[in-house]
Amino acid sequence: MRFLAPLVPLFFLFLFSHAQTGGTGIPPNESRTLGKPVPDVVLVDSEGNEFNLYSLKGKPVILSPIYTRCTSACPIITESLKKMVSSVKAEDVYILSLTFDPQDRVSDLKAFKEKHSLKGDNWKVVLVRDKSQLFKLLDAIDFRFATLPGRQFVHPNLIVFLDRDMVIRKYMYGVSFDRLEFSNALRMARGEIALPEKFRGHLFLVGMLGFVGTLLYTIVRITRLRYSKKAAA
Amino acid sequence: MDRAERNAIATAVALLLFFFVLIVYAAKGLRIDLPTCITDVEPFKEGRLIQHAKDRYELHVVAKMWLFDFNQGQTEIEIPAGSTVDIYLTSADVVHGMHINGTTVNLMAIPGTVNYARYKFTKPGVYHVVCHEFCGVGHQAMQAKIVVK
Repeated sequence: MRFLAPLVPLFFLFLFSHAQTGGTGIPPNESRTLGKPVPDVVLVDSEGNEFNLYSLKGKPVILSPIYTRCTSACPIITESLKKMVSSVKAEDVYILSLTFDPQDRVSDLKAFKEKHSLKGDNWKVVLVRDKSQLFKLLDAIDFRFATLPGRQFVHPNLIVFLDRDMVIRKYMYGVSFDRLEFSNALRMARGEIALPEKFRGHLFLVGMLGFVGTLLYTIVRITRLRYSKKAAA
Repeated sequence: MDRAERNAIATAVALLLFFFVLIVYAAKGLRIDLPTCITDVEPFKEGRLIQHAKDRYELHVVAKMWLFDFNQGQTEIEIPAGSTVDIYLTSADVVHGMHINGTTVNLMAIPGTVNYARYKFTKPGVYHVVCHEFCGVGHQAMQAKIVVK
């Protein structure tokens, strides 16, 4: 069994390396955003009310970047998010459908909200009042999009979970969401599971050390085996 | 195993590890991003410079024999200093290269796919763009300009 020892670090490397699946366009680099706060920007909701993002502090926030003219992914994301929120009974969170199209207006937001019948004070369809601030917020979650003709965009399909201090805690990808994964992400945003987050910054280092260690150990073992064979001969 | 042979192997392994650490440092410490190839979108046909905010641009470049189409046929564009530009590059015919002199932007233009890099132009000046992949008889004349004011 001793020959299995070098495989242990390798196993941990596989266990903790998260493969990103799904989505189009350029996926965000999570290692640079997780655990960092988003900036305080001035938002405008579908009724035209202006408020600061930080005024929502105190409750976790689910940020869903969309654009209102979207005909493919965004409506599906919104619908599956609606389904998830009602199925896990997430009453203690704010949900922000944030339009990243710099040309979207309040009337577009209102139409989007009515089209998807998003009710309640917790769900807001918002735009960022200032365009420079919009890109500050998008950079904070590392959301990148490409413009197509006719005000269409290529963008990754994702939602972002912020905790009650507006710190980025979790990304979820795709247009439909797994219930268990969703409720786990919510628990992370609520601060109920915080342990893995503390180690996240060191994960890469641990994995790399494990890899290098395994490599060195294997080399040493092979050379020793050769030597002992030679000595026996 | 001969002593010299063992030393050679040890040196090779040490060098490999050293370069591995350097690569990791470039990605994690210096935050150097590799170009991202987007294969699941249909490449655009025409170059465009789109302004999203006062310091935020999106540049769609079509490389073709033998020019860079930056903005509807223009090979020279002007942007203010401090702008962050998302550069998307594709090719209309053969494989081209695109290097923006004085920056870390170095992309391949491959027909059928879109290549992507982000760069923030902080210093004002004229940035010459050259094709660095031999693409035919007009290759040496294939160049463009980004003027940062």
